[in-house]
Amino acid sequence: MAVEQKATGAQQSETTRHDGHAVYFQPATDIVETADAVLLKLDMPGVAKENVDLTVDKDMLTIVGKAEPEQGGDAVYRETNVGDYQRQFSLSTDLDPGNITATMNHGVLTVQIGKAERAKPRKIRIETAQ
Amino acid sequence: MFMDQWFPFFDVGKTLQEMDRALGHMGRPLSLRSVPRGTFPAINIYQQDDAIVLTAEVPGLQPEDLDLTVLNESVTLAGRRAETGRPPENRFYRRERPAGPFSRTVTLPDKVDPDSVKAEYRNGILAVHMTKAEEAKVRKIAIKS
Repeated sequence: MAVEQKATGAQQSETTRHDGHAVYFQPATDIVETADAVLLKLDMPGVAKENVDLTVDKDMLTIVGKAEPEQGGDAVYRETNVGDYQRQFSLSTDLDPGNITATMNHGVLTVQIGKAERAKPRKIRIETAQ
Repeated sequence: MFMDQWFPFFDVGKTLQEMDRALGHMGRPLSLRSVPRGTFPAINIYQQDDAIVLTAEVPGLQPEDLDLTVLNESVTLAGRRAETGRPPENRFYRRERPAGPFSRTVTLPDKVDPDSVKAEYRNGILAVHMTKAEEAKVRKIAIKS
């Protein structure tokens, strides 16, 4: 597996204390591998483009999204909690941490992580033996 | 692996709910922002003196792909969420995002004026602002001495 989610219970609670936020929520994520990249799609409704933070530390990719609180009056019925998003993934050595691009579109963050040159599929030309 | 097959999303939701329960027992619950997982979209309802605001988390859609109907006290939100690229050319490692057609109807705490409905889609959240129908508005009654 190229990208793996890391269980980070302890680390998350520490970050929580730092920021003064009560909880971080895990965004639902799709992970897809294509020929030359790995794509991550994360649902982060309520997060604007400028409030997404991606950091790579060695092989650890951390995604944090700050959601704006909803304002509509007194809540009479709630299915969502209030809070920000955070999720961490560890990148395998087949991926290039220097080649990461991200786009935010209507609350969905798409992260594209390029594969390292040696991990890309190669077409081998067959030559005729003389 | 089950991730490689297509499921209607509520089945995946059920599986994930079971996984959540199992992981919860191991002391590592997966927490999602939206509470009943498997219900899409998640909805919140807010009340003001003369208005009702409904918000729905529908990330990744285009506003024209959302179908909103308001009738008396009920609001229906329908649409279709595209799936992330399909195999065989793409390989899935994880698939948690609900995809496919959805439709949800909720009952509001009061009747609303259908002409007053204003909807705004921002950062994946649809906010529907509705004014309460005349008969449902709070009225202040002057007390004579």
